[in-house]
Amino acid sequence: MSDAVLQCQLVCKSYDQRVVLNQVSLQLSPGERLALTGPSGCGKTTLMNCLGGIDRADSGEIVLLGQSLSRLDAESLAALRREKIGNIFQFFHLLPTLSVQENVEFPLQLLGVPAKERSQRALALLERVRVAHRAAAAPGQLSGGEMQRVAIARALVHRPALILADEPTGNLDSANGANILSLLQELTNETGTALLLVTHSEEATRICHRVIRMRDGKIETGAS
Amino acid sequence: MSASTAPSRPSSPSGSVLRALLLQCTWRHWKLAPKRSLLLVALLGLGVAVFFSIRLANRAAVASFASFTRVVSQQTDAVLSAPAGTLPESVLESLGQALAGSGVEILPIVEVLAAAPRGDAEASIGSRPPRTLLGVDLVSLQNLLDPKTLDRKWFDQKKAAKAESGQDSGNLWQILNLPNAAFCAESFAQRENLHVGSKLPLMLNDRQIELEICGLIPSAQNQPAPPANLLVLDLPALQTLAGKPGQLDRVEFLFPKGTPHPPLLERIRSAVGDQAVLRTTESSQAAAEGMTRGFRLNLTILSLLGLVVGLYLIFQALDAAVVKRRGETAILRALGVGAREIRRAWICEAALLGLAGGLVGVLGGWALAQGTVRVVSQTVNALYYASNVEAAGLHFGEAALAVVLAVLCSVLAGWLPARAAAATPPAQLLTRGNEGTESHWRFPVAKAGVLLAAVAWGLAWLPPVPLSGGGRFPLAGYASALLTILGGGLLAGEFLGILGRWAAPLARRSAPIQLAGSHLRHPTGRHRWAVAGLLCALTMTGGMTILVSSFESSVSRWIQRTLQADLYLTSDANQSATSYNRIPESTWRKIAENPGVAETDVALIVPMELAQGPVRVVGTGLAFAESRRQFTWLIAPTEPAVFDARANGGFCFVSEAFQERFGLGVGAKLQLPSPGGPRAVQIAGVYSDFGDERGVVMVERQHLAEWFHTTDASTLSLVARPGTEVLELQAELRREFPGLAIFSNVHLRKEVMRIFRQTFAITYALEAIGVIVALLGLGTTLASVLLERRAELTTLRALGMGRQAMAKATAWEGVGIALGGSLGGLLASVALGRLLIFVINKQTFGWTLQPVFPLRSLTILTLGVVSCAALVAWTVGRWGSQLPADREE
Repeated sequence: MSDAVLQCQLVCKSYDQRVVLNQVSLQLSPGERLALTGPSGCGKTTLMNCLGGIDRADSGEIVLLGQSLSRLDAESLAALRREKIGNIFQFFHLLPTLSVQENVEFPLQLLGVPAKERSQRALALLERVRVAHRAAAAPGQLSGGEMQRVAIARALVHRPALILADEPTGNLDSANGANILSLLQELTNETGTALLLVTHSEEATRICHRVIRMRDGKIETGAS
Repeated sequence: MSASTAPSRPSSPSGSVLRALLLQCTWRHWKLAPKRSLLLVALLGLGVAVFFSIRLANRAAVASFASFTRVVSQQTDAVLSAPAGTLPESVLESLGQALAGSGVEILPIVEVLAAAPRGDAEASIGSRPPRTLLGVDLVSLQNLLDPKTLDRKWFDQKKAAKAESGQDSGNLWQILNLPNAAFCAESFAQRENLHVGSKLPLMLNDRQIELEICGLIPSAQNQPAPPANLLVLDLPALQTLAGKPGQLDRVEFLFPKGTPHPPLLERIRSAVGDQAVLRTTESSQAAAEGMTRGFRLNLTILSLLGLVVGLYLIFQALDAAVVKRRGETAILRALGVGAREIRRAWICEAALLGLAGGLVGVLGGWALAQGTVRVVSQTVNALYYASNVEAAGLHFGEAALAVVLAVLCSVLAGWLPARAAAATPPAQLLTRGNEGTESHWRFPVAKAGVLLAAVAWGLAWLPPVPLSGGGRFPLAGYASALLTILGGGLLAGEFLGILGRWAAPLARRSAPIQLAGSHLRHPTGRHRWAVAGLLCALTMTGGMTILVSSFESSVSRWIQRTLQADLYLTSDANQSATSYNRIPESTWRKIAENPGVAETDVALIVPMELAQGPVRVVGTGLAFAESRRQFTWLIAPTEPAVFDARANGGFCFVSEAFQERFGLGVGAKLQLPSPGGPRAVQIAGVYSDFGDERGVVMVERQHLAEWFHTTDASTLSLVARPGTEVLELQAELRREFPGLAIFSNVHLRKEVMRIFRQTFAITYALEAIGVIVALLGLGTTLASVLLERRAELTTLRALGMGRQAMAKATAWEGVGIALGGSLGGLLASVALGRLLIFVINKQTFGWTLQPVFPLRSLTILTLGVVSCAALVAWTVGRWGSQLPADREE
């Protein structure tokens, strides 16, 4: 049995007879950072949605930490996501009605972690990403860079095995983008968490161990 | 460039854009979701149908009054009647002399109400439709009518009442010589399977009579069809049958065409002096309409609730559509469509929805009216006058009004969503990531709510608007009620924040509650609308529940005090508020002498036309009533002589409704008309009476009987001798007097409460619709909110939140909204209940009610609404949790 965090074999996905993913295969080891690049519409986000269990592949197999996603029902997939995966989005997607600290605590709350421990872990991580001073603020009061830091804290707070990051620097200026990449690198090194990074940015690919390039739903280079 | 070679330009660019938007966008959206579009039109149609059906039913019930003469003659020009009791037949001689040579046709009329014989002795009062017996001079009518326009004549009808009988109706002399010959309407003959020679049993006064059908009522092309409950007899025959020999109920006049009316009216007045009241036919009809105006206005206002509900639905649906089509709107804006065109297209869409809903509602309302007309007719019958309408006709004026109101309401409801659509920021939306912002509706909601509540409080102190005929309409009271509800609705949003904060301790234990609470702490405009919709429905239902409970409790106490005798007797023919069949002295004396009867109270009821307006004068044994403490005094009499039959001829008591309606209290003097001239009486006391909203004057029966030269009784109250089995006495009397309705105390109390509840039947139905629609509105709101939060839903899914948990979060949010609406609604319903009891009821009916707070009913209502809201919200939440991911490349 492989010790890979993620294994993806011959995954296909179509929308309305339009092939979006065409026999995609890849593998991700613990602690590995993998960049997924390619032009717009090549299927990066669809692949990430399938890998994260938000969407289902039409065929092929995705195995996350030894569990085949195609065999899991919706609730089991949700459970897998809340335990093993952290997500970071281009537009941050913090829950607008929760405070910064509540946003970071939320994944722990989904896991049933007691309130005191939640608070301690969230504050520690906010400290680590240097936004602890904004813990009580609403997301709308933060800058883009601050929001992405909070999103990173939220993605890591429950100590996932895999982080899926979709253009995490796509909505930030270059200075903030560099800071975020550096933070991601540091934190994944510290925790040994695997990172799958969807990006257009050359800068972003530099923090990764491997780069895979996609085109027209297929992996063009770097799959192995 | 010459004019001939100039490129053609659209005559109206704005019009072209609008047309394109409606055809290419709006219409296609409707076609893409036909079920939803049809459901919306149907729901709006339901609101319109409720309004339209009640308008039609009201119109039919009013039209049924006083149209009997018209169907057998022509529209007469004037009506002469006694201010109280009947006119002596001798008046015809005076009139003949006064109008000699004028060409005026004089039509003497006797009109009495009879009833079909009962099948079940314990049947409900009013369960048998009243039959109107009209006594007219058939020979005069035969000569009066134009034979060219008639479908048949009164006599020698070639076809009998039922075609297959093959038997001709009688000739003039045969019919006039029959003591019980009657003509009926064709529809009645068909329904009852009657033909010439058929016998028709009826209850009249204290006995059963049998009419013989001798033909169909002739109708002419320009006259309405005869109502099914009308039976026409020759005048002398009905005078004999009804026990009114030598008496007339009224005289109608038909003036020659082209003759000025005032001189003729003056000649009639000079002939009869002040012993009779002369009215034109129009004013007579207006008086009848005035009698029920308050009732009809109340019903119309209630029926408008249906339209308000439709307005709310259109608002919710269009608001949801604005959210759903936001992306499309942004693209249109980017393509150069102006904000004004976008707004116009949405308003047109609202107007089209209103038009479609209005047309559907008119058709549905017409069908619904066939049912509501019976309910309205039953209530009018029980409270005002004989009405036996079984079908409501389609009235084009009313239909147009309903459609126009539907369109106006829809446009009004579509205004805010149209503004929101026009304000769609294309740049932000097209670059994604900024969805769900609610920049519109910047309105000081709480301040406006407080202001409306303050205005409502002020309006509650204003007096009612007087109506003709002594009625009053609480216009300011209704405006106050409306503003109370609207003010409460605006303030209701504040409850959400409070609930959100209350939920904080729970939120720490549960992610769905955490999420729901956070949304409630930051309510959007949609949340506020949903909670306002629920608050409005709850307030109206709660307020009415408080009113009805208070009413029921007050009426219940009143009947316990008033109805203390063991048995109550009246003519079995009395099935309507205007049935005045009587029990002759020989009968009631025989009953009083029954060995099982210890005491008898005889009451005589005479309708009168006072200078102030029409009232009912009741003659009873005042000392008997007082000794049994039957009066609930609001102002008790201080003069002991008022209970002494030998000395109380100059005194009367009036009901609270009378005092309120005419502003006459203790010490005021009344002139009661009688055949022997007006009788002056002084008001000595005011008592509580929930039996007649038009007011009652109560005098000693002995005096009233003397004034009207009668020994008859209208009702009898019997107290059984100790040791007598009341039910056995009742059975014995029923056997002996089959023409009387004999009710036990318990049965009569039940009947009073049944009639009382019947009057609120339509109210309950409308409120149920209001609550259901408010719940649907909650569902629509949550669906809109979830559509708007699709990005958040996707995030939650990515964070590992399962469908159940997401549905739970939405359900908690729905429960929060429902709790906000219900708690606010409960508070507002207390205010509305007090307004209904102390202002609207008092000003409309003049009744003092003891307020009751029906905690149990209101708790059940609140729990029911919150539970239904949780179910609706959970269902929407399940749907929302399955929305496809919002993020694509």
